[in-house]
Amino acid sequence: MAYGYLALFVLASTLIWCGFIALYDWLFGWTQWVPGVNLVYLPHGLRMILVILFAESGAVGICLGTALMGFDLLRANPALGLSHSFVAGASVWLAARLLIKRSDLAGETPQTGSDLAAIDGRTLIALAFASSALNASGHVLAWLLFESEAKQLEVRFATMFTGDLLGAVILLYALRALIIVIEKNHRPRP
Amino acid sequence: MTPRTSKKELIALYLRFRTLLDSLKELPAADVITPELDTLLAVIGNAWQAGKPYPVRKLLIREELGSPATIHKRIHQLKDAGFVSFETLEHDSRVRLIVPTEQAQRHFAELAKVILQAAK
Repeated sequence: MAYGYLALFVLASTLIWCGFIALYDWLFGWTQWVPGVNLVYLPHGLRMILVILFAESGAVGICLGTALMGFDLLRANPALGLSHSFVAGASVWLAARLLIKRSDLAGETPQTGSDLAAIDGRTLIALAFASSALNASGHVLAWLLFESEAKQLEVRFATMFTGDLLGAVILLYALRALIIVIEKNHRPRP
Repeated sequence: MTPRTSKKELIALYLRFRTLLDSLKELPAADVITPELDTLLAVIGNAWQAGKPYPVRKLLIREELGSPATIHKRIHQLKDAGFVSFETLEHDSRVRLIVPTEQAQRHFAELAKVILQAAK
């Protein structure tokens, strides 16, 4: 059985997520519009990468990491903190399941290597779009249910959706550029 | 989902990592193939299809494609865009052959689809 590895993947995802969030908040804290809503949110791209790499373990790691990093919110409003943490990890995982199921691989889980062979660049963009929409919807729903004084929910949704989508696309294309540069430097010249 | 062994879990992780790298490279991008590069790629593809891929030196002296310096630059552009790669002959490592990559083959296949659709 591979429970040890699954636990390791959860731990790795949690640590990577917390480390990236801490660094991102330090560097780009000024892009935060209201607590929890950024105009450009690069970590959404990392969410996608963690879920693609570690599957369910990645999603659980993101949930745990978000809860740890948002401990103040968790203490002040446990229901809101827990639901936001859950949505952070579950949105990408759910989007991946929905998108991959739409391919001709129905009946298989989207997290196996053979299934992911169906993912290409266009699917990544579709995944960024769908997961941003799910993430923003989930957060707004949690605010609606658990924060009675929450205002401008439609503006929060729009800002969070565009922030997540922009952040994911920017991070994915930055990684693409990095891969191309690395490959270029390791190819023999004619 | 059936439980997987530790080894299978690691294999799946590796495959997911490779798939992620490939899909990142396949992200939609602005078309890098200009008409001049497309012509050169077609010449390279034709020779490869005929089972006689061009050695770099022979391609450089195809005057109708441009000066050797121009062809050299375009070969680099095609290589950097991931459309061609180089292979050496088994019996003579000095000879480098230009062959279309899988990305170029997909490009040819897409063009063929467009032609078929237009024909309909």
